[in-house]
Amino acid sequence: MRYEANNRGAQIPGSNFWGLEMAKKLKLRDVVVLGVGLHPFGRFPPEKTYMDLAKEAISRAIEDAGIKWRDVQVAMYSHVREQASSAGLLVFQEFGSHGIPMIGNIENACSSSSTAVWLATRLIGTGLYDIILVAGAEKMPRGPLTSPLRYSPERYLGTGVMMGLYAFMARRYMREYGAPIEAIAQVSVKNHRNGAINPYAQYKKVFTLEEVLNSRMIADPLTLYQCCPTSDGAAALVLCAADVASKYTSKPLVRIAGSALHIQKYSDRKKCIPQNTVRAAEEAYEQAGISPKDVRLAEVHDAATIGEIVQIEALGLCPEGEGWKYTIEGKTEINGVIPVNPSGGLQAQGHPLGATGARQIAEITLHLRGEAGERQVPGNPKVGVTECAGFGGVSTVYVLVRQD
Amino acid sequence: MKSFKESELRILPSGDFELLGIRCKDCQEVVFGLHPLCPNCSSPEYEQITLAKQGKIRNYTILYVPPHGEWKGPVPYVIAEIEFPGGASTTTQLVDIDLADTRLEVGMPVEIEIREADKDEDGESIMIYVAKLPS
Repeated sequence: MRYEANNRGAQIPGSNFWGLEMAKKLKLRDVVVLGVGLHPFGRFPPEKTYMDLAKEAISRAIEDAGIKWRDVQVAMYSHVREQASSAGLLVFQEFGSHGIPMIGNIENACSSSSTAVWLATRLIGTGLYDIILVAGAEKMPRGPLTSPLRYSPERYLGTGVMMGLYAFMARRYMREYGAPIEAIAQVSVKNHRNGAINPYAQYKKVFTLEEVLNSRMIADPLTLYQCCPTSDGAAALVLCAADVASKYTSKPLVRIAGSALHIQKYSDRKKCIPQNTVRAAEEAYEQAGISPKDVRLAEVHDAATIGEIVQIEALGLCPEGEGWKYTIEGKTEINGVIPVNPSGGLQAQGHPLGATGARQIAEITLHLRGEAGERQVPGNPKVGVTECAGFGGVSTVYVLVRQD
Repeated sequence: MKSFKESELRILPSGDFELLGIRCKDCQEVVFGLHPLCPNCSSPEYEQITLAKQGKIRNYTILYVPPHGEWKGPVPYVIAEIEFPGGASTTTQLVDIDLADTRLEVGMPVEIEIREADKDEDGESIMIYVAKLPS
């Protein structure tokens, strides 16, 4: 048998993406975000457990959706770090077990709850279920995020450090596109300014560019204020088939018009810009029938400042190699041409791993409904995207469109 | 002496070592370490090879925080992506550097050495590979 290397992974004739072509054949139902709920991100005392955080986010999402717990037909939970096994089941059973399938953990590194949403959209889309709840919550230990292996050469070498990998990315980007560190650090300045007006953000403190650049060096050239914090927090979403959604809510409906999950390929290392996101965006835009030019705001994975810059390029929100220019020109500010991370992103809102993917979708939903308060992106935006990356090479992209 | 990761590092009876890799017969990619299938194209048709013990720095960073609570290494310390002739690459620590006196640059040549990471319960050394600037 002859194995062909190709650039797109599993293919069927005439299609770039397996799931995309099958979805067209199956005529999947539209899925909307019916309700969103968050527990503020931050640092909470030990007696405030992950269960407390998750219960609050779920209760708010249920209320926002206008449903009752008994209307939920499948419940999915995501966490990454050490918590109880089947953590989600313990949380869900607090609300009552009415005989529905419940999944205690869907884990895909930082993309865990966004992976759960990927599964849920397909379960609803195919018609098996109408209403699925996705929750993600985390209580994170302090200190650097490192390789998950307890006993490995990486642990002795100190190579499996997330911020070390982001520093590689920053150095490569600076070499290839001539970007100065000041432009990359500006992401932190912008996102902390946004976080300061987000009641759910962990950090509500504004930094100057000098303060960001002069903060403690973590992984050269990334300083402390260019690295996201470790966080506690929770987010929950109620996803619903579009054709029954009006039974529950009179709020504007936000449709998940595109959803894609892609994994980094071996050959992707030849490129500086993350090709898993490039492919995920291409698939999600095609599902939604839009182009990147239609996107009015984005929430992207800025675990380190450089992450935001390469991801907005991968999403096609600016030309390749110009993300840093967009940033210093103010184009990604809340009142810019393409606002990025109006929430404050992972930098300021915080990054409880299992909650982040769902939190990004909640944030875009609020903006498309016009409910984002002081940080609301102006101009009545109708289309937003989220991008959530994760250790191991995962990238998830969602295109959200308000139904008018 | 024994290897911490036998799919990448082989310790010879003489005490010398080999870095292992594969060359795919289908896509021609040279990949660091042994794998069940070619990581580039999933072909089972590959040959096992040994890689050169010299490479060059493709990327690097200096880390200023210990990676975890049990860290016994230096702080700050340097990690680097090392590229070998033929294109295979790996990430390891760049050891024995006087950071005050060395200007690191992409493209610099390095040599691979082995070091003891740990001892097993019988006291046998468990070895890892590290990179070093040529003296």
